[in-house]
Amino acid sequence: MTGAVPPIPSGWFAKMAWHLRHNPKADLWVAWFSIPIAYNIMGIVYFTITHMMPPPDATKNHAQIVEFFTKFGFEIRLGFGIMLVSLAFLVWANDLIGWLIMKMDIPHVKAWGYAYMIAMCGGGFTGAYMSAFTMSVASMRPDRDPAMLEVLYDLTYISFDGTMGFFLFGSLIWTYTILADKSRLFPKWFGYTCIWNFTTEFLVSPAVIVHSGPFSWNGTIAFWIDTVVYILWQIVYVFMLYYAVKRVDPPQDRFRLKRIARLTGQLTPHPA
Amino acid sequence: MPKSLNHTLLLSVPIIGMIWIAAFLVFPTYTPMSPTMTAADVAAFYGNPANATRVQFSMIVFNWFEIGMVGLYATIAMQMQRMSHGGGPLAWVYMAVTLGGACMFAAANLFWIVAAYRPDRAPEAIQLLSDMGWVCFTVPTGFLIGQAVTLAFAVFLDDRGDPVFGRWVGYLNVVAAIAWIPAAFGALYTTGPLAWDGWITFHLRIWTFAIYNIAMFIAAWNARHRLDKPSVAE
Repeated sequence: MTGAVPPIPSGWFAKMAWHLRHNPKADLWVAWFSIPIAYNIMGIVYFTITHMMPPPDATKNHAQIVEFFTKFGFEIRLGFGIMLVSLAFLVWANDLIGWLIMKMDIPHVKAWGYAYMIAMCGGGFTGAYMSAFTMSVASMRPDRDPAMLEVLYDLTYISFDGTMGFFLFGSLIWTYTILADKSRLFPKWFGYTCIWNFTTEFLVSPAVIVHSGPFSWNGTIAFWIDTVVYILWQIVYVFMLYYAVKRVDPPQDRFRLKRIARLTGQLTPHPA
Repeated sequence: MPKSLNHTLLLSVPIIGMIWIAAFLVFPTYTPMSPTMTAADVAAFYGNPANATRVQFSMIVFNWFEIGMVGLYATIAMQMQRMSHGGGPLAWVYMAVTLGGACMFAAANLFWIVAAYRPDRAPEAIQLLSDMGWVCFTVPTGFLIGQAVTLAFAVFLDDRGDPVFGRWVGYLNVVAAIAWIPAAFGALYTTGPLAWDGWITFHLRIWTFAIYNIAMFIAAWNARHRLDKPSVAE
């Protein structure tokens, strides 16, 4: 194998294989694809399989809680099984964003990138995993003492809203870096939309206190408006990341420089 | 510094591995407690002083050393930065998912040790804590899967003439990831191979984990001299 790499083939799979083999941004693109895939799995699990979302009433009595876990028991455990397999791939998304932050033009940019990665991964571990365990354990034995089921029920929904600080800080870091970035890796207007997102993280906090009304965990503000804002923002963010990955320079290391040179036929492959 | 200390981090791994095995054997049962046990049986299990002491000893040792394997994983992450795509985010993904797995194991630890702490608690409460412990121990294999898939991906992308890890490391990681998938559904049934004491969710998972760590240690040990060179990500 010498000289330039072969031209991009036409078939779907052949094209994918070509990109994995020769694209200097192959890892970035795979990380990007993991975002729509993993978030869609998460959405399907929450909304259709487990019936965890939209959240049931916080004012349910013991009998209703038992009924909830009895009715959806198998689906809850199946759904969380699917989610637990796929959830680690959200780490790809978080670290892709953290890595992109490191490519921005602001002082101490690496620290911002690491801070983002750690904040978002911590949020995933506490916010998403906790509810998976409590829901699975509750639905495993719906014949448990109803008071225990109630504890698990509350833990599920409050762990969801009560650990938002990780995401709050993650969003805050991303917002700041987008707005301060001189290289404009992300457009400034996208930085302003990130402000929406972290505002919603504040608005869910009363859900740990009140049991009903717009601020309860299934309320108009704390759930519906926040979720709509979050999903809209998520759609925008996937597109913004697409353009950012497209725009960012391929990672600066000697192998990639050679890989790019090989793409243009200037170098023999596999240098030492 | 004497040259023999160059690989202290990596050499700590087999020692910690042996401590893990010892702590694992101290735990009162080799296979997990059956998910079909009644609340009274579970309370009696933890209420038995012999069992409670062994749970406590085992959990104390695990508490000390549960993050100890991080030396191996951090070394692998450093090697990932020496691969063709080492300048990208993959090495950080690997480190983050590793931390997730350790945190989940720590949570399981915590639930068991609280279950053994007050044997006079209501049996229902002890059963709940025990269930939480076994579920946290069994189902979060997503992190191990993420770890294996990320590393396999990085190994397969490493297409230089002299790759950091051989291709076998990539295949091993793919096989391990597949072997860990069923354990994520460990809460689905209370009997059969998919229950948390079943052969798929327990033996397959544990033995894959043991073989995986030994094989990855060998791979990391064979590649250790590469760490003397600067990484591509710098």
